[in-house]
Amino acid sequence: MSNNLREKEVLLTLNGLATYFPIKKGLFGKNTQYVKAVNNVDLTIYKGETLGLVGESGCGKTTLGKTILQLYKPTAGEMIYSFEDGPKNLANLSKEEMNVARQKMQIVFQDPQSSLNPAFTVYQSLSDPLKKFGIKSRKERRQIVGDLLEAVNMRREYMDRYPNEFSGGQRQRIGIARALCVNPELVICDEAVSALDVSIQAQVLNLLMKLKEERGLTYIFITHDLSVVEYISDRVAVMYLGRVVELAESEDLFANRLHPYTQALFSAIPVADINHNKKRIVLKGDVPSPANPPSGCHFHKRCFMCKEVCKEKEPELRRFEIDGKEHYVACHFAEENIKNA
Amino acid sequence: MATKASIRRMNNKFDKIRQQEEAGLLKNKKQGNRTLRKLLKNQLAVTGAIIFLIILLACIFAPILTPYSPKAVDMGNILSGPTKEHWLGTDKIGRDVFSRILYGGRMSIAIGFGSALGCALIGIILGCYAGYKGGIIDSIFVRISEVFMSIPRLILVMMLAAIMGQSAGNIVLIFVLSGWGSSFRMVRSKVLSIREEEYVQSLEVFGLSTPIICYKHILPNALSPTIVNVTLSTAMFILDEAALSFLGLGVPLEVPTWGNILNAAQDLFTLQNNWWLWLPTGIVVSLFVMSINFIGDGIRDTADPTQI
Repeated sequence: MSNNLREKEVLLTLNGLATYFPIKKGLFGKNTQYVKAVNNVDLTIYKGETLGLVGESGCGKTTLGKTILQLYKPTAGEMIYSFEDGPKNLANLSKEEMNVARQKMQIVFQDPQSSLNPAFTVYQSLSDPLKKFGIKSRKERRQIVGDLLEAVNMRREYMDRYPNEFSGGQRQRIGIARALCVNPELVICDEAVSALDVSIQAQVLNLLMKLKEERGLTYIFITHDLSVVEYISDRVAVMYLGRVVELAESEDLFANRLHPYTQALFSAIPVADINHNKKRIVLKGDVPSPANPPSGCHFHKRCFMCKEVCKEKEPELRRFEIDGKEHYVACHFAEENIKNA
Repeated sequence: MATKASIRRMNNKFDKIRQQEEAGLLKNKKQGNRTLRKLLKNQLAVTGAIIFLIILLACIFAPILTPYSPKAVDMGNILSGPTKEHWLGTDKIGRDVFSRILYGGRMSIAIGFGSALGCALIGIILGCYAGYKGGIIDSIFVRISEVFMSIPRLILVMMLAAIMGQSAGNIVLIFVLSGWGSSFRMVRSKVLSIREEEYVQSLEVFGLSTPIICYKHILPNALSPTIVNVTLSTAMFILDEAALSFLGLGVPLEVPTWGNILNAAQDLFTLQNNWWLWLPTGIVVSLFVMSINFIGDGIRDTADPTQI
């Protein structure tokens, strides 16, 4: 698996990506502070993989996804996307190039309630994007929407129904169909199954995996549900306070967790076994404000392994090899942890 | 065997229906317009619409319904009660009240609706754009609307009346200038909340243009309070027109409007002795305002896509 991945071509590279939101303060509305939602993220996404992006609420997962989609303007860093005619930085594309890029990347949203326009039928909602991307005839559009609905296991005549006539799972599948309507390469699933109950979750996850096979999609799967991540991801990136703290292949990460935050996070996965006697790592305190992150390692205030060096020096995301597999960790004591593991 | 044949027949029938549905043919044929269907089911709205249409048509076809001119003075027949010739009597200078109500309705309805629609139009166009765009554009528009709302209507009316003279057109202009702020704010605040919905973000991901996102996709969801506002403010403008006309600032007194007719009955003597001068007019105004409100309520319920 790992060798396969390494040979695969790179789809998207994030270099030092940062997205800050200004907090207005002061007499003349001068921006004195920023919420550093995404703070210096380096990440590589390979064609055809599913990258799980996990972390607790407010750690910048969604902001990262929406920055890639140009819903937010990045403050710094670059996003290199490999188009057919060579790699380009998404942050400074011309208008025509942007239109091409918009066809390549799509998003599936979290909340099935608000992700469809209640005033429009499914066909009406999908019609304008299709029109924009060059499908002028109504008959053709109806054909495409019908095919998409069948691709997400729904009947094609549902296209003339309103969103309030569907259940949550159905709406989520319509949301997926909408994302697929421009034949994208990269689909960002922003908590795509979090709002659904477990049986429907499985249904939607299986659908996503089926579509990935059929259409050769690449997923960035943003979630806080670790069991979902384990099920669907090829690689997993763990985020904390706007940064990636650990990145490895899914099986590898579930076997060896090198960052103390990952260890704490994964120890919270519930196991359906009453005899299971695992030690839970309970973190002290809350997530610090991303407007004013702690010095050094952002995690040091809550870390059970914290030493002096953590308070002063910021750890970089370093590459290790464990049993020949890539594993990136941002911790001063990564070597120590590898030995222990 | 007979049952088998009938089942086969039924299956064929269902297959046909399904084929039609898949081809998208059924929708237009059978269901019609969802909004209209819902509106027609609302009894109150239908009642309102009937009253509204009766009054409106009566005003439009006034020359057929009454032989008298609303301005024809008949000094030999002043303040007569309802008779066979004058169904609702005559006023202080012998003009036929019935024909004055009909002709006056034309002016009052035009002023009320014209002003309300004008306000709504400006409010919707600016409010939707400002609410969606946010930032500097939004605050500029909000400040402008505040300026317009802060000018006392009466002063504005007196100024414009002095500059441009009295006319119905000027009254509409004044109402629109001083009234668009409230519908602007209503639409803007609604759009502000809709803007955060995920379907709007999805349209942005597709890179659709601002006018399409704003006026085609967001607006239908922000419209229902505005429609109610149009109906309510129509009623309000009809009454406002009456008040202004009374002060001599509105429509010139010789032009019949519902306001002008009512204002002829200002003194206590008329109120006590000549009920036909004010009661029928008052009833017509109330019925009209009420019917508009019923229709507005009905449209509001209909426009809510989550209600079936």
